[in-house]
Amino acid sequence: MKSSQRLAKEYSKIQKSDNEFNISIDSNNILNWKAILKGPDETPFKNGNFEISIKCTDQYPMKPPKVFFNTPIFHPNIHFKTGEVCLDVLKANWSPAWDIFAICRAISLLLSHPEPDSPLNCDAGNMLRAKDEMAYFSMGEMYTQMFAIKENSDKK
Amino acid sequence: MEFKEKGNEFFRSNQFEQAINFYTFGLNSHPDQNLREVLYLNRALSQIKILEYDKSLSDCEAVLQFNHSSIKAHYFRGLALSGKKQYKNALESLKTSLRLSEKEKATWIQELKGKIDEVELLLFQENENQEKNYLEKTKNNLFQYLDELIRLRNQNSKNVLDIQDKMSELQIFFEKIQPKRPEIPSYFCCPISLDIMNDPVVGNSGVSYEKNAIFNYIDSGGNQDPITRIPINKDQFHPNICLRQAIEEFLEKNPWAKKRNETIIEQND
Repeated sequence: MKSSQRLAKEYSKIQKSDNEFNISIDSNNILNWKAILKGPDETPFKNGNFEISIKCTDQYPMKPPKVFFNTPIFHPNIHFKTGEVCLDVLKANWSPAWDIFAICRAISLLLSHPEPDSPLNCDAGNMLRAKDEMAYFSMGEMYTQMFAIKENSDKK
Repeated sequence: MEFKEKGNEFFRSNQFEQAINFYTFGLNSHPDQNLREVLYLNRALSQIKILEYDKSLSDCEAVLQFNHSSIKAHYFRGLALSGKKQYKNALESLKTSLRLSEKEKATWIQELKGKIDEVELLLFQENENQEKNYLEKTKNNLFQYLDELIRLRNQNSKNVLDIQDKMSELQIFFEKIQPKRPEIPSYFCCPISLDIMNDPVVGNSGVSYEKNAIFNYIDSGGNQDPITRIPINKDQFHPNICLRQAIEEFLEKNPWAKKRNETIIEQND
């Protein structure tokens, strides 16, 4: 089974849906996908649009794709500089029955349910572990304003 | 012998008219039966290449007269008939060729099956279009007739609105009886490959997978069921025969849902 065949199937399914994550494929390489996640309400990321890139290998779906945030985000499980995401289903808990859409939904959920105990961003993790919600929110909102909202209004 | 070689040379460089000439010279030189069969068959395939389906058919018939179990004669006959859009007869010839090939365990069986799938799809599309055209024609005639009636009636009637309601009801009716291809049921598709399954297998979890897909996953280090996450190994997977039969039945009625076989047979002796 070829990864490109499976990805083509996924893409045609997404095109038939309302494509809530604005998922798109790199026109030169079917293994490289992009999606736009909307910052969920009641999080510091509200009103932000976060672009992620999803890079599959030719072993997909036997092995998980690599996911990175292109838009910087202040979140305990997302590396602020590299955009790397720490999520169990993208590592040991991956299942080949997962698809790109499910990944987008899982990451969207991660935005509203951070896991401060396995941080890639220690500052954000420490704030949550210290239950300092105010600091977490004001830092998160600031960066959302800087990168996830401004970027978008520039394009328009 | 020489004519055949010359003809094949032209065939390989896609000069089919020249190839046909040499095969014809060969046939005119009273060859023995074996050579005659090869020359006829090669000429039949060349004729198909230049869309001379009738000439190809008569070459196939010539072979079938003295060798009724010639796999290639039946095969080329199928190709030519399919070229003439006689899909039903084409299928019959192709299936005869397949039956003979299976007896001889020939190497091109997969490709032959692919060709049969292709012609089955063409036949299905032809029937589908015929049905659509018939409906379209009936609908247009009916509406034309009704329009005429309404025009005559309108001159002395107050029920214009009522008539409009009835007309849109009729429109909806025609929409509803349009032939539609059903969705491929998701339970016919493997959760890993997302494709309709050829060889579904089921393990302890009760979830069915395409055999190749789940075995590839296990080979690449997977040890949990992709859906239920219970431990899995190859030994626990068995063919799901009922599901396979259900899929085969669905595919028979919906040849468009078959996976496309990309290779196309092309050979010459």
